[in-house]
Amino acid sequence: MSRSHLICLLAGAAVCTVPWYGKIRLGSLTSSATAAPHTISNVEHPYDVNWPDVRLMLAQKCNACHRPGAEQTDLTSWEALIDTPLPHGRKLVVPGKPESSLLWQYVVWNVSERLDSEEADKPLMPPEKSEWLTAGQLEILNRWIRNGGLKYRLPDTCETWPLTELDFPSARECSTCHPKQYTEWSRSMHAYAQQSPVFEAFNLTLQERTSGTLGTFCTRCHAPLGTALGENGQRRNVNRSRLSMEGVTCVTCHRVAKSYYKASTRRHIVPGKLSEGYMFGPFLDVISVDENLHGTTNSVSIRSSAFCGTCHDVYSPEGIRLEEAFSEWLNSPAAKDQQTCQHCHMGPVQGKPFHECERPLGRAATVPGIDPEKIPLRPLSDHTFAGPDYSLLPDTEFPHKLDWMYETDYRRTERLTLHQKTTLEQLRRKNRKQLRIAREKRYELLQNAAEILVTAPETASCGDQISVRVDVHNLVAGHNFPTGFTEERQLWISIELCDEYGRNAFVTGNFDHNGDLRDEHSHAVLGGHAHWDRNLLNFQSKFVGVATRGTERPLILSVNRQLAPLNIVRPTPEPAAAFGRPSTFRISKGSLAPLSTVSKKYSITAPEQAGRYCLRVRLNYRHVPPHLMDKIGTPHLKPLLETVVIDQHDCVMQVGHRRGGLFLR
Amino acid sequence: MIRPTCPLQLFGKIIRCRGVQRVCILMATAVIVTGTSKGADPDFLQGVNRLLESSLPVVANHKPESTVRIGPSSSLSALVARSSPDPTTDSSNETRYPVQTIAHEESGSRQAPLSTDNILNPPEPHRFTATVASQDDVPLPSLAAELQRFGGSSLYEAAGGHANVDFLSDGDDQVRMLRLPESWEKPLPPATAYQEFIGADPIGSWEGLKWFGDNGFQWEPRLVANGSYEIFGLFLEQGGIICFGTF
Repeated sequence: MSRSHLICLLAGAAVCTVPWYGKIRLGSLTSSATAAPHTISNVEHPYDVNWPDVRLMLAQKCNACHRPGAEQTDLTSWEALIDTPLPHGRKLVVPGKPESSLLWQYVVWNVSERLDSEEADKPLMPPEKSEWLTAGQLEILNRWIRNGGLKYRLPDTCETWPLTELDFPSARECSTCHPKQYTEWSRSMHAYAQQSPVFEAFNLTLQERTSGTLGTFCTRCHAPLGTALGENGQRRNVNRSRLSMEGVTCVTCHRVAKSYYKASTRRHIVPGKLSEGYMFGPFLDVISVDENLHGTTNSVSIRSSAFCGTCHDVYSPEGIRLEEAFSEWLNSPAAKDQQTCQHCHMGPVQGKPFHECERPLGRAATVPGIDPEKIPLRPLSDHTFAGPDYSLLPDTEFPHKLDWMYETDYRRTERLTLHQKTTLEQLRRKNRKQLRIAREKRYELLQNAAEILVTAPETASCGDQISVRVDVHNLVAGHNFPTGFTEERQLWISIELCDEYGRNAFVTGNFDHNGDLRDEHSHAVLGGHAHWDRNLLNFQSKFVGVATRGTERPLILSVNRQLAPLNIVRPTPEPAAAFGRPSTFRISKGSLAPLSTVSKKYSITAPEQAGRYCLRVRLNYRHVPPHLMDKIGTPHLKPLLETVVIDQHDCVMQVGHRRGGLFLR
Repeated sequence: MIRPTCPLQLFGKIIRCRGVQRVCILMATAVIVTGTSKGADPDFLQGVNRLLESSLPVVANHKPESTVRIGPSSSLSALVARSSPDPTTDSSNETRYPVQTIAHEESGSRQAPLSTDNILNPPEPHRFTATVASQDDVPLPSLAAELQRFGGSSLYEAAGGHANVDFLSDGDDQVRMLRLPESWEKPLPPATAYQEFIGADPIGSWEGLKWFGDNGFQWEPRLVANGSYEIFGLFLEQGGIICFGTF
């Protein structure tokens, strides 16, 4: 047992805050519950210690219905909780007396499922079973009322007003009125951005190699709200707040008031509660069905590719262009046709351009207590944003996770209550359904991305050289394929020429024993255990570093410790800004230009043995190679990597002997 | 440069001073073969195994990932139907695209020689058979199997800041730390008597002194090991003649 745990036990307090463990509830040490990630940043703020948790709890579970002007009692502010008059002289919150407080009476229930409990088996509110307050949340609410129901701490010695989680609406707050958009977003890679174990390992690896000077270069895109709240770049996911872990959440796009260009996510997200300020949307005819809901205004930039380009065009301070999706679009045929990112990636068919008028009509919101007919029909967008990536998390972690799972060790099912077991199974089924939809959309996107055309002879003479031509055509008009972080995207051609017994006469584009392509990044090739695949046609981009003697060598990671021993000097002391990139590093770009075709002729020696041979040509895609997983310390995720065969061509080749102008089989 | 942390290295140095060109020290066979010495350095045992020309078993790598085919069906439909190995590949009537899941063959336990025949081929596709079933009818894999598939349950503890280390477990779980915890501090160097500890990095070569074989020059004369060993004999090569002597 560590020193911190001993301190907790000796203290005898209900809650003990340990510097790097977060809050540990002592009453749970003997049970399965260990700790819960904070919902509020550990910064100096003027609030009562329990109020932010209570406020966020109400905002995510209650405020969609319990808002000003609605039939239900307003629960959106501290003033409403304390001062709202109720019939028969009752009060929502009676400071110091939780049992007399109507709010407590509505939400309390027998959360531990004890037989001797006097509480009801289910609470009056919230109605959704998965949203019932957990043991920890009930404890916080009870403690807040018992301590006086304060908003600010006493005495008020804090004069600073830092940004906290209270200042940015969570996606869960938006989910009640915008369930369609929330469901689509929750299965997207935008929601997965910071949760990705691969990204976390990649970022931490680069943090190690740069002595932490990488800063928030990566996380300000993947966790923009966490970065705005002051979380540094090397903070682990288990220590980030839940709002930060939402990644590219709703307000990341809908609370951006200004137009930015290629900013590498150096942009401002307007803070404020949901009822404060405006939400920026794409529709020109803005309406307001209820003045007590959030304000809405039109944003021209949110409909443009430049809006996406603020994040999807990444360049380092030294001038290395790590991602160029938006720059590629600027010079693409799609840009000339005025097709934006949203046309292909937010339409009903992923990868196909759809104009706004062609999208399905529907209501953008379903507000409780508001007649649906008051909300106009709109051409709706798909917020799944399908891309080539997919979740490498189990169905308990993504897309959704229940509140009690942050408090209780759900791995030990024998210790779970009946309510927890039930909601856990429902969650897993719900998550798997969402993951399946996301997978189908990913396949749809890749299927619309490229195709191959194969030209091969039908007959060949034994021992002769035959020529097989493969044309790879990029069907994407808006950017290269692959695009984005192309140094980890693999798009390659694999060819097999095998006889009827499955024996290979020619093969290229296959794997070594680690699952890697046999190129300069393969450990097996470098170690002399496999041949270099000299016929490999791979459209993956490669990092290239200049060695100390002036020669170049391919790199797997963008930060190379061997070549940059003085990496704490950032940016580099060289005049890199004048030339746009450092002299010791570059990216060898190998992706296909928009609507372009790349051809390759394979010279294959026909087998000496006559017979029927099968020629199989495939266009394969993989989002991360296994050797990268080894480099960043996640080899346990390698079995989850998936190779997608985008296109395939099979044909039969008859190999025989040619004598005197006759072809003998 | 010799790191004199073991008397055996000093012993080899003494022999070199007597003009012996190549020195090889055999250790107790019981230690080498059975590996019963608990604290034996793996590098050391590996080197001795090389010395005895017994190939070490190569640790098989991970089972490569699955492959999914989304393109149009091939002109030769010689595809074998097999169920998907991916438990998340739930089938339903909503599936709109023909999906074929492909599994790799297992690699051998030994490294393949230099031949393309022994390199893994791209996996064979298997047709994904979509069955009409609602989501509720699809059986869920067990929670333990699901977490094991995604790296192990130790990664998904409901604790903030524990750095994937199960502090509160009763010791039964074999937790593998993937990264150093945030509270990790670099350990102090080991205490060495009479000599300064100069690091655990590879030892430099001895000029004119190497192990047997063509690659003997890159084998370090490193006999740093924990535990106790017994020297019972020496192989010597001098002037092209190999001698064997026992104590």
